[in-house]
Amino acid sequence: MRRKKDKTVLQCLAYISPWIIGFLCFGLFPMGYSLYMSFCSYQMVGEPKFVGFQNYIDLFTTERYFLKTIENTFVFMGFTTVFGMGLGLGFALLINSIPKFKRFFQTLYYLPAILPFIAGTMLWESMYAQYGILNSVLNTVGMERVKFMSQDNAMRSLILMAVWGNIGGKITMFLPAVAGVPSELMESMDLDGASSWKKFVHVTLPMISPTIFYLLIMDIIGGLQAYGPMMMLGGGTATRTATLQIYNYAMTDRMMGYASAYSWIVFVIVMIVTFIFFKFGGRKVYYADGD
Amino acid sequence: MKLFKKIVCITLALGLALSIAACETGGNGGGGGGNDDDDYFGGGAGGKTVVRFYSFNNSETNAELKKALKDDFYVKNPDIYVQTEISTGSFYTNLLNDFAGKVEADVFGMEPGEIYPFLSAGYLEPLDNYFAASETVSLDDVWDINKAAYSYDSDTKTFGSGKTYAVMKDWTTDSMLFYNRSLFTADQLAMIEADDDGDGVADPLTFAEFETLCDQLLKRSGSTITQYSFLPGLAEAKVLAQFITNAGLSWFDPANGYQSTFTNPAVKEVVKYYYDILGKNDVNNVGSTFMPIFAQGKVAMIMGGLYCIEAYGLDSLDLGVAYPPVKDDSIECKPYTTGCVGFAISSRSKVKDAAFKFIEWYLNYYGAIDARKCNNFPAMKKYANDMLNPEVNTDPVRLRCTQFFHDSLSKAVVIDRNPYCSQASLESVEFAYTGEYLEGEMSFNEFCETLDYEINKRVRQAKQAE
Amino acid sequence: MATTKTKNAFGDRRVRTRIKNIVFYTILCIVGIMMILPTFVMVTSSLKTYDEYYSMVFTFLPKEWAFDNYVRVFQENADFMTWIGNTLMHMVTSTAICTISSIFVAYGFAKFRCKLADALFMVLLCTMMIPWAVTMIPSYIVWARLGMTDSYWPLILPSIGGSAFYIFMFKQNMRGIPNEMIEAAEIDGANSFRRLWWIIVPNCIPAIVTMILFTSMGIWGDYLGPLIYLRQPYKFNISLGLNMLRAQTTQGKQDTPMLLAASVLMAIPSVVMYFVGTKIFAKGISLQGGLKG
Repeated sequence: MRRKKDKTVLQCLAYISPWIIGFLCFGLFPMGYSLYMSFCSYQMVGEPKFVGFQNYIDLFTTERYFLKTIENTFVFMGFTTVFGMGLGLGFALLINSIPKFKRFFQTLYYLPAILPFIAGTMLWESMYAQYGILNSVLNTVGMERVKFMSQDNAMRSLILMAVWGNIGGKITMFLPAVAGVPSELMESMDLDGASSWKKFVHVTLPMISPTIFYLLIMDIIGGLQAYGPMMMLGGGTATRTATLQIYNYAMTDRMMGYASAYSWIVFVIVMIVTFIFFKFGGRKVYYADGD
Repeated sequence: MKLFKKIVCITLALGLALSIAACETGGNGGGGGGNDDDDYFGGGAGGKTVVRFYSFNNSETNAELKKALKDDFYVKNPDIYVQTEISTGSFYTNLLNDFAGKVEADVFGMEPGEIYPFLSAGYLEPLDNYFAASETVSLDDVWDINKAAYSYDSDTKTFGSGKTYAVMKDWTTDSMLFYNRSLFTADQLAMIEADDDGDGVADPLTFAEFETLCDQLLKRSGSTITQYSFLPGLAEAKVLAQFITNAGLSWFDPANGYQSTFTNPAVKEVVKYYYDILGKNDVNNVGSTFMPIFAQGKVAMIMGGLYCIEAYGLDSLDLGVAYPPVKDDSIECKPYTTGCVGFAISSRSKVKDAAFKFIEWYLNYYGAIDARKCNNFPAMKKYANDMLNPEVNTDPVRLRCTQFFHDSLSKAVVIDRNPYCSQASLESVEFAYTGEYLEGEMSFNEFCETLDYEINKRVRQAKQAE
Repeated sequence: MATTKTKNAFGDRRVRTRIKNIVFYTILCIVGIMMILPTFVMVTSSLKTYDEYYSMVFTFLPKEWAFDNYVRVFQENADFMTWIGNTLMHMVTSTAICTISSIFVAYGFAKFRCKLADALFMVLLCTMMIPWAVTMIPSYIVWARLGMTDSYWPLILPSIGGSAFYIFMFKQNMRGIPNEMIEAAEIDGANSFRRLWWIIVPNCIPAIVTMILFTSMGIWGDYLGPLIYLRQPYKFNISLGLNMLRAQTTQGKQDTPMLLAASVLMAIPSVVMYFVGTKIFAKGISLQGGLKG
């Protein structure tokens, strides 16, 4: 018995080894270095200078927009996740139910996500511009021009753009899961005379719960680190997420230590949120292999 | 199972074929050949000294440079090879990253507003000896402004004297006021071209006169603007700095640890004045293409440099040039040169002599060309004189403007530089909040206070890292 | 009793299904149009002439079809083919290494349970949460010190570690495979590798294909990574090249129609990849027969 256990551990490690190597070299070491830098002051010249907790103190006491960026980050993540997952699952169910053209619709919805980052942002830039496409459409209909990137509207505009691009990916992930629900279970529910809603809640949802869980976690983690759309489209204080602020501090202002401290705070927040979800949601996920 | 195997095999084969094909056509990373026909890769291979040159060029100008090197430089210096590198990202951050990683280029572009970190870290090689030893160029041939821009005395920590750490390649005053004469009435022309002190050169407008002109020249049809009175032309922050300098002030206070002065009432007055004009001209909504609109004749006044004439085709207009406005007649007009873009050599370079040969060649070769194109004023004064020659500079509009710019060079000053807050940082801060202020989301006092806060934050961080 | 019910229900059900289908199709089509509209506008704008695009009058279809925009993309930019080649090379190598690695690692986590593995998995999840900006600068400095910047090595080598994203997904997937199948193979004498290759992987094909698809497309459009490491224009990948074109302005105006044409060209391979992928993918579903296969 003991031998088998040892062998298992060894095999386990053997298979995991590529990741371990990658993690040590490209994960742990840079992380450690950046943690060290968060306690230093470094402007890309000379050597980092150790300043203890000064960066963190500055962040918590003097950084005026600190809470605002955290708030923006959570708002963006929250809305894109809810809309993305909800609409994604909804459309996946729709597409799964129709007899023909499944792949056509799947591709149609996924097209936005295929657009390369730059092309997509250029496109939405021209859509939201003052004299851009959406406004000229409104104009033709006789309505007033709307400032899409004003302080009030900017976040909504970005969320729309993000969801538009996200849905396709969700549908692609949900479709196989939904299709993979064993038809016997569905049929037995039908025979019992269950309504569609009941079927959905009691059969489909549990069967696809691993996928939902996975996508949810990924979405949360990704959403909390979003900065691409904000960077390219702007939006000022209303859309400045934490990671965007970190990027600006690091790349433009070269405040490496400060930016590192900032990013470590964001990291801790993300970790806490994910941990909560894991604990709370992990129990509700049903695995086919009975674990 | 069989089908699965088939799919896997096909995919792998395809992938392999694709990647081989790609390696053929595309450049491989880290050591493969480039696909320029006469370029080759490999430092020092073949016996040539390789000089790495990192510049702001885009691919077009870079291609021109490579051709010029082939036609001229390699003929004169067959044992040197110049490896041209460009960057599409943040140039100076990349450069500093390179220095940190000890893989910096040998020669690289430099600007007065960004040179501080390099100076304080001792990354730059003093060029005085190289110039002294050279037969074709000497520092005396170069405009005096180079001293103000790039000579630094590390003991007193001041510019203007000491060793020369970089050399400009060309320059112009770039916050001069271009105006479209055909849009001005006779009275307005009289105002802008008045020469009360009789020195043969039009006096700068006062802030009050400038404001009057701006109000008069702004034309609307309903709520849309049909004619703009003034647009910045350059980065807004640079133009703001120009107005502040011409009010006899500065956006930071050296005596107060280089902290910002945006809470100082006198400075705030200038800021309000400037942004009011921008606001009236709906600057937020014009986008970023100011010069082309001026070229189309829809703007009365705009700030720019000599190169704008060639670059944007401004000579098709009835063009006038004036000095940037001053607060009142008692203040001296100090037009900025934000340019003086030049070259520096890394103090750790192993091929400094060859690097300098490249710089030397560049100053001579492009000096002659720029003069013929009448773009910016070349670094070497002798070529600049060519530009004032009517036989070289045949277009009368251009000639007149060139003469005016030439005169302004004697008054030019290097842009105000804060050792603890780079020009790029100032611009990014300004850019971040101007939109909100002009839209009315922020009050004026909040705006100034935020600028002050952001700048001081950067100053504090930079000082901490010293 | 049951038969009668089914008979009645059968008649009703046909009609109900018909209506259901019509409703579903309508919804999908309407929303589909909304989804496709921006892309459609992009394509039509790419076929407009320069003047028509900037004329500020919005037209759905171009009055003059400027197909030469597409030709000009290649004509005016000598490096365009090179960029494509670079991106392909990067894509194939990185995806291959990453996928194989992820499969192995996920297998280790999914089927060999031990406390150490659980702990390491938590670590894996944590790594996904690191803001990219944090590791960006230290990584750059390390690569610079090794002298390997301005190349694709910093972009390709890290794929040895697999992708935490997909390791997670594969693990979920592999856990979904009933243990009985695997134990059956074990009894037959298959060692762990054979179990992986012959049992688990075939059952994970949809997931694996999805990963290859997504990863490839991600690398095709990768911008931020190459931006930091690549300098020379002939080494750029497509995104970087496109961005460089975008930043080039002649007379202050971008040649947006041509840029959009380049973007469309850039997007086409992704679409093709996707179509091919979903075909394989659809076949993959039928392989999920489990014990019956």
